[in-house]
Amino acid sequence: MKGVLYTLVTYLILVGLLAYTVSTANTFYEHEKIVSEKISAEKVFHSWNSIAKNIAGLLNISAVKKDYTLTLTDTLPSDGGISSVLQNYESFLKTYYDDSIILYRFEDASGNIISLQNIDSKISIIPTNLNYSWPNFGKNSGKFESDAGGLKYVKRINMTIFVSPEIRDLSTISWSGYKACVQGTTDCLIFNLTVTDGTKTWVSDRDNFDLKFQAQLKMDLGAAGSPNWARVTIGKIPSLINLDMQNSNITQTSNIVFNTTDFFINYPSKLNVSNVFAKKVDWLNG
Amino acid sequence: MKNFKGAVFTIDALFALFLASATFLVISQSINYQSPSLEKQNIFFAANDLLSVMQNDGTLVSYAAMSQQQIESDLETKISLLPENFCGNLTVSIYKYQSGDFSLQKKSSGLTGCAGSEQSAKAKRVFYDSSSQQYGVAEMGVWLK
Repeated sequence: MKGVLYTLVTYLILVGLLAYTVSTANTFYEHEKIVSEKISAEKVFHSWNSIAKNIAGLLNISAVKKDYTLTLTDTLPSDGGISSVLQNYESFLKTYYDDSIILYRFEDASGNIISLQNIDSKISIIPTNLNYSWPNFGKNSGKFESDAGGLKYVKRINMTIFVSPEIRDLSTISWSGYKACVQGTTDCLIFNLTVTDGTKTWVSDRDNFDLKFQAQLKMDLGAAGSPNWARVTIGKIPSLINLDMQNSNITQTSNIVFNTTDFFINYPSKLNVSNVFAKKVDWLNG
Repeated sequence: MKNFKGAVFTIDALFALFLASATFLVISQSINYQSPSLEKQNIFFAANDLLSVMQNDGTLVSYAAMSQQQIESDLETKISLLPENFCGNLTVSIYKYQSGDFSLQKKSSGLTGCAGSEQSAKAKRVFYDSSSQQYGVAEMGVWLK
């Protein structure tokens, strides 16, 4: 009887030991698996961010969000071939960044593969429906557009334009077609404009624009008789501000103040980065 | 009969000793277990944290305008920020697209100066400097001393 009891106890201890070993091994295996997956996901996340981080630079713009304000800086026209820069960026990624473990591709809204150089020449501020676009990456003009719904997010836009060559005559700069907002104006843009060439500075004395009308400011630049000018056109909605020029360069810095901090910038391509364990697909943003 | 009983007790005692040792071994192993993945995760995080900071604060892009010596000196400073028990190698390569191909403009490295290890993690970042139209890659390997 004693022998049977000892055997039983021994058997139970052995089974307990075995169960504990199996359970511990399983826990360690699960733990290793979780850590491996976490590292994989982190790799995808960092790759996505690293590739996306360069998009503003590739488009030769600066877009910085701080609290309620988006500061957007852009130079018109483009001084380099942005399309080639985008194409070269893709080649660079393939040649020097691709490690064949992490896969990436640029996609359109439907998930089809696209080439970066073929993306639309615009950026969007989500969810305000405010777009900043160019006719193409030559950037011969730049336009802010928004529908009436999107305009409600915009408290004001403060724009400084640096022009080159120099302003010809400050006294000749004035708005034409300007209509101020009045009580009952539905689409009103608060817009403060400063134009400078580094020496001469012109500050607009009009700051609220009824977007049902079109106001225009044309500045002659350079020596008298030379065909250089820059132009700012306000309205009509959905066009908010249009900048164009002839034989001139302008660098605009716009502080767009929204009534929300909950906005972000989307570039017109999705980036899909994946490996065996993880995947991140999202619009390129900043 | 007495001798036979002694042998049984001895075998029994040895078996008990074996069981006790096995139990002790399994438990002590599970207590002292050091996850290789956890170590890898720590060094992977160290590599990525440093590169993320360098990309987000504009350090990587700023290298495009620096000389190779300046970059190397800065990389040495950056890599010294790693924890004492970590070793690392940080390399930055900057290219320019010329005549249909990328040509290497400068390649700089910063090393902690300790021997390599099998348990290492690698991280990589890509960057672009719009003013000089140069493309760059920063690669970092980190391992335990």
